[in-house]
Amino acid sequence: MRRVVPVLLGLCGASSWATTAAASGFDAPTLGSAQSGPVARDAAATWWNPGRLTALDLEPGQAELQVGLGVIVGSIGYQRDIRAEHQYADNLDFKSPVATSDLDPNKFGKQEKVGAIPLGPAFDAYVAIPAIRDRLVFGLGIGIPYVAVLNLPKNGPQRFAGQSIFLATPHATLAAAVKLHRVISIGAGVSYVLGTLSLSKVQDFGEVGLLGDALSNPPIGQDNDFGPDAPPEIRELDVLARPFEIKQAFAHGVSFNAGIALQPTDKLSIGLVYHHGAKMTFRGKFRLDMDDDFFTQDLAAQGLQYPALLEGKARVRMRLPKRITLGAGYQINRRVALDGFVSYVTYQDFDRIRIRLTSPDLAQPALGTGESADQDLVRNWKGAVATEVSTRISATKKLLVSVTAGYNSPASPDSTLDVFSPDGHRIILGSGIVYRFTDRAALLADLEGQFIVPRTTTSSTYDLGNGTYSLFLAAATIHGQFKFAGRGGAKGRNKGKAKSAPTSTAAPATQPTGTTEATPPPTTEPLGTAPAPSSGTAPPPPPPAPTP
Amino acid sequence: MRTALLRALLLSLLPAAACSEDSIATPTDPTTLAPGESREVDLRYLRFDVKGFAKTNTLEQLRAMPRRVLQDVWLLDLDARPLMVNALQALKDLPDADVEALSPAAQNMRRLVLMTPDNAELEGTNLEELIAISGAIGIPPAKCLADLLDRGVTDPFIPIEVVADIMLSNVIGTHPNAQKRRGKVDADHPDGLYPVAPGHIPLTLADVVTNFEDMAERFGPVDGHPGFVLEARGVSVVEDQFAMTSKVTANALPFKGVDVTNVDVASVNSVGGQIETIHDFSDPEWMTLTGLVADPSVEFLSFGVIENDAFIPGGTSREPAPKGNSTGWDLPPWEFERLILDMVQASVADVPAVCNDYELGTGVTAFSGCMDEDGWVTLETFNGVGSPPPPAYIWDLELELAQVRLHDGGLGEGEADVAMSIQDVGVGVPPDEMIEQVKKNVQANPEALREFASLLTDSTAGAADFYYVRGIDSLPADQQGDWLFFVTESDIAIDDEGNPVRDYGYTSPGFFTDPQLTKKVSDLRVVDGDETHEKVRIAPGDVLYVEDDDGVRVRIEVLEKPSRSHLALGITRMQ
Repeated sequence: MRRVVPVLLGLCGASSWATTAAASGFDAPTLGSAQSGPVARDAAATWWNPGRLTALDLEPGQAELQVGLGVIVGSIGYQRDIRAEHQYADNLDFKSPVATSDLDPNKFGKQEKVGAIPLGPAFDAYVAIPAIRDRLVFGLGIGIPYVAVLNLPKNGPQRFAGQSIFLATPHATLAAAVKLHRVISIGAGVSYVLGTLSLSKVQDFGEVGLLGDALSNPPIGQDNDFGPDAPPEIRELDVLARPFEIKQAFAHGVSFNAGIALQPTDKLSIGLVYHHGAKMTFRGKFRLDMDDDFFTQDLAAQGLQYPALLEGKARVRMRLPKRITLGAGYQINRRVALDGFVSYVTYQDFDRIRIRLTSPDLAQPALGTGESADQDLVRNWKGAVATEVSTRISATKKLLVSVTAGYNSPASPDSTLDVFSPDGHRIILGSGIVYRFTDRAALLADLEGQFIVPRTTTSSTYDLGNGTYSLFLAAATIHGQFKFAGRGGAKGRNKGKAKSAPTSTAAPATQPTGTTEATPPPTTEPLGTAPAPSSGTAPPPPPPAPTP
Repeated sequence: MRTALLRALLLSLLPAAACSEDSIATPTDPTTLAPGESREVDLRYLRFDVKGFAKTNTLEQLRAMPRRVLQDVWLLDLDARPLMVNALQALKDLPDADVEALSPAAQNMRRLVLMTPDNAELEGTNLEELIAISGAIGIPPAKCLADLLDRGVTDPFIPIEVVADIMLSNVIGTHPNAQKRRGKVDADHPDGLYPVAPGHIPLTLADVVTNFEDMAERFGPVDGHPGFVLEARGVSVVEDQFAMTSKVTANALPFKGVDVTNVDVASVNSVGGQIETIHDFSDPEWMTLTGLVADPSVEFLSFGVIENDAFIPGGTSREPAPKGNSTGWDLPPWEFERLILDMVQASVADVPAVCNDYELGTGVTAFSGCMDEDGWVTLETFNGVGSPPPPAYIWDLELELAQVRLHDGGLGEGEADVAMSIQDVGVGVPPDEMIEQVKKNVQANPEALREFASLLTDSTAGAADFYYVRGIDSLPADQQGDWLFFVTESDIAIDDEGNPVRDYGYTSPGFFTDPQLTKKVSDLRVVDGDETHEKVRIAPGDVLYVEDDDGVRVRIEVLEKPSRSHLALGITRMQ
């Protein structure tokens, strides 16, 4: 399973300076391995469910490290279907209705299909370190839960929605888990979120309130329909199509997660997790190409005059969504386990993105506009549900195979759907293997695919995003999982555990439920987090002490 | 530092970021087109049709505009008569203390203006004998003079209104800068000079916004004329809040053309070609002027009158009729002696023939004073009562009187040039009337309209040799399509001083079909209201030749249209 979170950005689109959109598909499909999850037992629980950290079979002085690398590649397609009337792009009628003679009969219907192959890296690393035997475990990790990487044709019909975007929000998380009882553990973590954002698009000034106000206010005083509510027929005009980009904007945020892990029976594990969203304020520089005589000289006598290249500071505010997840796992028999989760993601938090551009060059004193321009991008997303189910089969003592299927409901409504958020009913299919080379080292290889059921919308606001969207994403990752033993008592402890569970090597340490975990039997663990399965599945041997 | 490290780490982890390429190019300046070199250029015809666009220029903004342009916006011919009357009235009402401050000549002049039969001092003149005659017949001399002029004894010899009129016609009306104003050069006005209404002074936008700061310079001595304003300070026509607003309905964007020197796109102000329709004169608000002072005035005004260096005797003959033979009539109209002659003649123009007989107590007529309808005065005595002056025109008599009195106090001939200063004189033209005149004149004056409109949309940039116009669908069929217009002199941009930034050095303006420029295909036909530019309709595949103002000759090939309102041209330099 993978957390498939619609990545937000929706920076522009309908009515904003910067367009980017959040596509569910740009959610980083990997955090931890395919074996990670809210009821899994690995160091990635730092992110997935801190309460599960106590389920790791670690003693003070030991540690588990899980490091992963991978690549995410995808295919995004969009064929725009223009359904509203537009004037000739080289025209400049600014008030609806536009004269019939100025309407372009050829700007209608399906446009050329555009596509992109997003490609991005995946990286995560988690470590779990027990502090108090069977009581307190710390987790530390870094992962990138939200990534959006997209390059679309500069001059494609989607250019007003976006040309390119790069968004990443790495989280560095420190978590702690406490085992309250052999049945229940709780944990919480706090994350520092570093965000980076770059994007480019063609900004349609027809939808910018700044221009509408400048033309309608004295001294020009021309009643016009420019602005966020501009009708389609006065949008997408060549003269008002200004290339725009934000480069390397950074944001710093704080978030937290908290989880409860339950082990009511030997075979059943339950996890309940809450992830808090983070308020992100990206700050960077923007560049706006105003090199058109209309903006640079033609109306200078009326007070409208920008430099050919307008540069300044950009601020983009958004909120990463909150999420609550309920997961459960069940050991069906000694070789087969089943687990899954369902999440509710508060994408309604993502109702709008607030963008402010500031530059002395923005000011047009004669027209009553100042150095800053605020523009809200209305997204109006709705809460989404994400669910996945995985089956994990211990094929051999060293090999575990898993398959995953999932579904995400769309967050983006038809009205604001655009090419930067090719959102829809998303189907997830994935598989993974775990091969344990030694007691201390295992390799986890995962492959996952996500695709949306091709989505066609005909009710896009202002005819901006009507058309058909397709999305496919694939993630291939490899993780290494290592256990380290500290000096002194840890070694002796491991030896003792090895004696008590000498045949446990068949089960990988990442087994999600408590039945096949590499945990010593209850007899040796009075406060054992996951008792050895009654079925007698052999847990893996405890990892040896780390090599000096 | 930590932030920088984090960023570096992040960027190193995520290297493939999108947006890595620069999506915004930096514009570059075009280079000169080399002989034989070809380039393509895209021209756009974009309309930004504004309706009722109200452009307000504040006093500060207007003052910052090129002075030449302001001077070319003629607003009205200001009637100077109210100002002159007010000035004379102010002189008449001058406080005693101020009178004492005047020069002797000025005081003498003031007394002349105020002279009545009652206060006239006739000593030293031909009329002095009237004093003796009056005494002999027992009536005051003032009575005789008043009867002769058919007016009251306290009425001025020359009414102020008459003085003002003659000053207007003889002094102001003869001043070069009050006779002609600058305007558009056309067939009727090849020198670009237009007549000014008599007795008026031309008022331009420059005069208004500067509160007539150069009044003394403009109406001082010029070309042998002594001028009539020696100094003027504190002219108050507009307040600091003055604003001039004009409503425009037009395409506010300039045309896009080509400077063939470097095949660069240049802009040509489009307002000139729309001048016929740019203002809606049916809208009373098409032009508004606010901030004119309620009572325009001059805080300090000094004006002068010069006398001839010689004593000019009055005439002694009726001939040549109707003025007589005084040499004063041959003097320049602005000299004191000539002014007196004209003023007196004008003041008696409406006086009917009058003849009064004065009898002694015995009933015998002793003195007869008559003036006929021509102003010829005959004074006779009977029975040896005195020696009256010989017959003469009344202006000849008064000329002598005026010259004598002007030199009272021992002033010699040529020493009585007069400079009189008065304060707080009203211009006498109400602002509302001034506004109406301005609107009327600007409306009726296309050149003023053009200049005024150019203030609203100063959008010419670069050095276009020709430009592109698309005949839109609403035009007659024969005007639709794509056109190239060759620039005229009025299309050249002006500098901060209002002067053209380049000479109109085109030796062969227009479009030709041969490289030798012998077969012109452009003409002045009307397209979209324009009939002043050489123009030619074009279509893809057409080949034209033009020569710029530097003598660079190019071949223009009309390429396939990129879009409805764009035009693609291939331009090749011929030599």
